[in-house]
Amino acid sequence: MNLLARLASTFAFLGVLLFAFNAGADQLRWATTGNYPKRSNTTKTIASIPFNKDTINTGINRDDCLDTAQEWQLFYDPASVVGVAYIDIYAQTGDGTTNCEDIASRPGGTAQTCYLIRRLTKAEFTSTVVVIHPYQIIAAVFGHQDASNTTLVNPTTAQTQCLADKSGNTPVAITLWSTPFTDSTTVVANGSLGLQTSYDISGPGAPTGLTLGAGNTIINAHFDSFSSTAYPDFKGMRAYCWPRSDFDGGTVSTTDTGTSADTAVTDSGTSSTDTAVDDTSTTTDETSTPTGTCPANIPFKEGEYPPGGLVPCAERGQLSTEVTLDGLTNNQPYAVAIATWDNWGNSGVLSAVQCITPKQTVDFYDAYKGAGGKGGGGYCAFNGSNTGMYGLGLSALGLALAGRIARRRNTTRNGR
Amino acid sequence: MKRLVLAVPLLLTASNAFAGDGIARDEAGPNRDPDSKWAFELRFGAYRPQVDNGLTRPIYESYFGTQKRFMIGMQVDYEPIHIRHVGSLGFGGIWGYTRATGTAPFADGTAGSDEQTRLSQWNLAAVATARIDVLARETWIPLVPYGKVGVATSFWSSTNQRGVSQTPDGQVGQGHTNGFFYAFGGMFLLDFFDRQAAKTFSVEQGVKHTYFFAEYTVWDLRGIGQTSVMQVGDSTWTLGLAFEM
Repeated sequence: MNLLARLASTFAFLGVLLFAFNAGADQLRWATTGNYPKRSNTTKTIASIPFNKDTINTGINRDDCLDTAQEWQLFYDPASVVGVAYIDIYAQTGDGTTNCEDIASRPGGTAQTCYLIRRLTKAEFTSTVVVIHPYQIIAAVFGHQDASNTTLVNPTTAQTQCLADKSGNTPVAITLWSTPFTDSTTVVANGSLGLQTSYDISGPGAPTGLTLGAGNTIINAHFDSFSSTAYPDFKGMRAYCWPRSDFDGGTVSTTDTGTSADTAVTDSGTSSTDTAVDDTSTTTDETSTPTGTCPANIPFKEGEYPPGGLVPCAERGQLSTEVTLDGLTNNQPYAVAIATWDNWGNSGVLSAVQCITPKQTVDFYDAYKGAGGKGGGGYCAFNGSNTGMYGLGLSALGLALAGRIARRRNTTRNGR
Repeated sequence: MKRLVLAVPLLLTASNAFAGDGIARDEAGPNRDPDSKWAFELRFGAYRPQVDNGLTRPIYESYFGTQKRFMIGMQVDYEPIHIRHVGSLGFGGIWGYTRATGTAPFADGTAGSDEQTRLSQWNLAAVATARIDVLARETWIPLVPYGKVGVATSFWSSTNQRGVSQTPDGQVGQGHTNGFFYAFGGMFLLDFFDRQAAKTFSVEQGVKHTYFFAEYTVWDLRGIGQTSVMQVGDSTWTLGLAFEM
C-alpha cells in the first residue's frame, strides 16, 4: 500500500470516529472547531481551542472577572437539542474527574466541586450560540452555586466576588460541563462541553516593612525581601502613588465601618475606568496608619486591591527590595504603597501606605560646580588647547609606532 | 648609584652560586621564556580621585566618605622586544573602572535624603612596559622588576537616580580628563612554586608564565592640554595577576 493510500485510510478511520463521537442522537454537540468557542467584547484572544488551562491568559483573571461585558460564546448543533427543555452549564474545579453531568455523582457540601454557572431555558438556546460570562463562572465557584439556585448572578454582586479572593492563590483548573434535560430530573443527553480552562483572580501577597526615602523628584520605596516561594506565579512589583494627575481618585465608599475614621473621598472625576473600592471591611481596614505628611483623599489602603484605573508609578518585573518612583513633583506630599503582581496580570493587595515629600537635592556634580569645578559638558566636550590634545595624540601615536618598529626589527633579527 | 652598580653583578653572581648545582642552562634560562609575546594582567587597587584639586572647598569626602574605593582593570601587552641579559619591552593598553556612591543631601539642609549620587570613571592608558627579567631568566630568583609609562585619559560620569547629573544651565556631568600614566613595581614568578604545573599550564593552555605583581601606580590625570577639567587622577598601589603567553 502506498503512502497516499495509507493516509487516506487513516483519515477515513478518524472521520468515522469523529462521526461516532459527535453524531449520536442523544449527544449535545458543542462545536470546538472554527471560531468557537471564543471570547467577544474583549481585546483578549484565546490562544487555542479548546481553552488551554495551562496557558497564561487563556483563562480568567481578575480583570476578566470584573469585565461584565466580556462574553464566552459557545456554539452547538441545533439538531442535537431536539426535545431538550433546558441546559445546565457547570464549572467543575480540580482535575476534571468528577462527572458533573450526572446529578447523582455530584458531590455536595464541603466536597462540592460542581458549580452551576447558569441554566439555559429553551428560549435562550433557540439560537446556536450560547453566551456565558467569566464573572458567572467565578460567581458560581465562589458562591457555591448548585442546582438549587438557578438565579442568574447579578453582575454587580459578582464584582464583589471578583474582588473577594485575596489569598494569592495560583491558577485553578476548571472544566465546563453541560447537562441537557427534558424536564427537571430527566437528563436526555450526555453533553459534556469538554472545555478546560482555569481562573486566577488573586495576585500574590503584599510586601512588608515598607519605608520611604525621598530625593529630588524621586521616592525610593524600600521593603523587606519578598519570598515568592508561596506564589509560584509571582511576576513583579508595582509601586502606587498618590496624587496622580491621570487619576481622579476613583469611587471610594464613604460608608466605612472600620475601626478608625477614614477621610471621606469624593469622586470628582469623570473617568469611566473608576472601579468601586470595597471599603466596608472590618477586618482589613485601618491595619496601619500612614506615617509622614500625607496628601488628602488617598484612594487606596493597606490590604485592598489598587483601584481600577490607577496606573502604577513604578514597576519592577522581578524580585526586589527597592522600587524608585521618579518624575514626581518636589514639595508635594505623596502616599505610596506596594503591590506584587502575577503572571496572569493580577495585582496583589497593597502593602502598608506610607507618605513622604520629595525635595530638591544637591548631587555630587552640583556640589562640584558650586565649589568652582569646571569639568563636564559631555564625554566629547573639548575644554582646552588644540596643542595639548595634539600632543597627547602624537604621544599615543609615537608609542604605537615604536611598537611596530620594534616588532619589525625583532622579526628581521629572528629571520622570520 | 655606585652601590647599585656593584650590587647587581654581585646579586647575579650570588644567585648563580646559590643555584650552583652545575646544571647547564640553555640560553633562555630555566625560568622565563623570552619567546613570550603577549602579557595579560588582571589589576585591583584602591582608588580615590583627587577631584578636590582646584576647587574652592573640598567636596569629595562629604559625598563619598574617606573610604577608598577599588579600581578593577586589566592590561594587555604585546612584547616584541627581548634584550638578552636585560629584559623585554612591551606596548599595550590599560583599562580600569571605579565608582563611588554616596547620598545627595537636601538643598534646604534638612537631613534624611535618600537619593544616591555617583561618580564613575573609566580610565584608559596606552603604555610602554619595560620588564627587567634577567633575574628570573638567568637565576633562580623569581622576580621581575618593571616600569610603565604612557599617556592616559579618563572618562568620568556623575549621576543621580534620574540619570546623568545636569546643572540648571544644562551642562551635563560627564567629561574626559587627559594625562599620563606611570607605574613601577615587581612581579613574582609563581612558576617558582610548582614548575611541573607551570609547564603543564603552558603546554595545555598556552600560558607560559604566571605572576603575582604589586606596583605603585600614578594616574596623573590633570587635564594635559585641557583647561577646564575634573581632576580624577590618583597615586595608589595596585595588585594583580599577570599571565605571559
